[in-house]
Amino acid sequence: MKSAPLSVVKCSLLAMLCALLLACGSGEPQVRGAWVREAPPGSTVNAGYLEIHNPGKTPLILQGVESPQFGAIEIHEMRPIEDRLQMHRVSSLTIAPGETLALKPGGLHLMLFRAATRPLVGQTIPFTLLFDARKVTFNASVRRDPP
Amino acid sequence: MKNPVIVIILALSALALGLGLWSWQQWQHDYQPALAVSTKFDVPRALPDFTLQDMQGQPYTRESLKGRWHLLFFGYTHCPDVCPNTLALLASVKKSLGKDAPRAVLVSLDPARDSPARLKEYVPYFDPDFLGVTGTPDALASFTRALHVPYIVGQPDADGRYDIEHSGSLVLVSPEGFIVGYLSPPFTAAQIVDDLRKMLRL
Repeated sequence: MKSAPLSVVKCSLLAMLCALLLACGSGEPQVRGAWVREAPPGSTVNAGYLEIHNPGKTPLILQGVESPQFGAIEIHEMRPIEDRLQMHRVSSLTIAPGETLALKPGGLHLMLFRAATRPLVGQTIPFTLLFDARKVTFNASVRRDPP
Repeated sequence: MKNPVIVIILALSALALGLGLWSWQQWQHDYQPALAVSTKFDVPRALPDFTLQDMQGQPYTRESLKGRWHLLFFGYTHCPDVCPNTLALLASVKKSLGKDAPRAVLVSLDPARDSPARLKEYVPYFDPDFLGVTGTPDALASFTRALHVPYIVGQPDADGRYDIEHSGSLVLVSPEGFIVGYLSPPFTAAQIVDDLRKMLRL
């Protein structure tokens, strides 16, 4: 009679411990400072920026990005070639354990195509990062200038 | 007997004069304020003759640039990263410098997609003072060649989408229509403001 409630407590403690261990061990990718540039009137493409941190022990491979707000999203990188800036599509990004990858103006960025509606300051846009083994969702705020 | 002495004296005087001039030049050179992201010409270079079209549909020539400082930036409105980023930087430079700020001009290298009407919609979004201009491919090619601002129009993909590789530099033009210098990325608004204060002697 007395052992039943005790085992419930034990079980829940065990479950909490398991959850905690899972959370620590899984090293869930962390997204910080995500923002989308407000679209100037009539623009057809937008750029999105964020930092992705890999707290895990294995490399993270970002293979794609989705958002219900955009028809297509690509990862692009601006590289200086002689005195020109060349845009390259990047098929995937690898983030080493413990590393943070910054997508910021003038370098790597999310290229956002076919916006459902024009992104305006004050809005929040949901995104999903597609990694090789998991998906991570995050919200980006629409801004005129970098945070 | 005396001739060699005179020759030596003359040679020494010439050497002293040369050294004096050299150190004066060095002192002058050192006295130029250091610029963070800019290259300023010792002798400003005249702009070539050109005829572009502004976003009001009016001819835009060397005369249009006279009477005010200008910063020319070369890009296109379908550019998602560098162009809006640079124009937003220039808008915050304008806020810092106020009425002393050079007028920013976006020279669109993409006349096929950037009509004057489209430039009029896009450019003033960043600041009402900013101007958009473009021109025929030939006019743009010769203008950019003279200004040493390279660009390459890319091949369209299956969706007809194309990018333009272009310089991210800004060209500073004096109220007399001379190229005074170039500002080259990567730069911040604060660095541009500092350099402009020195180059415009604000």
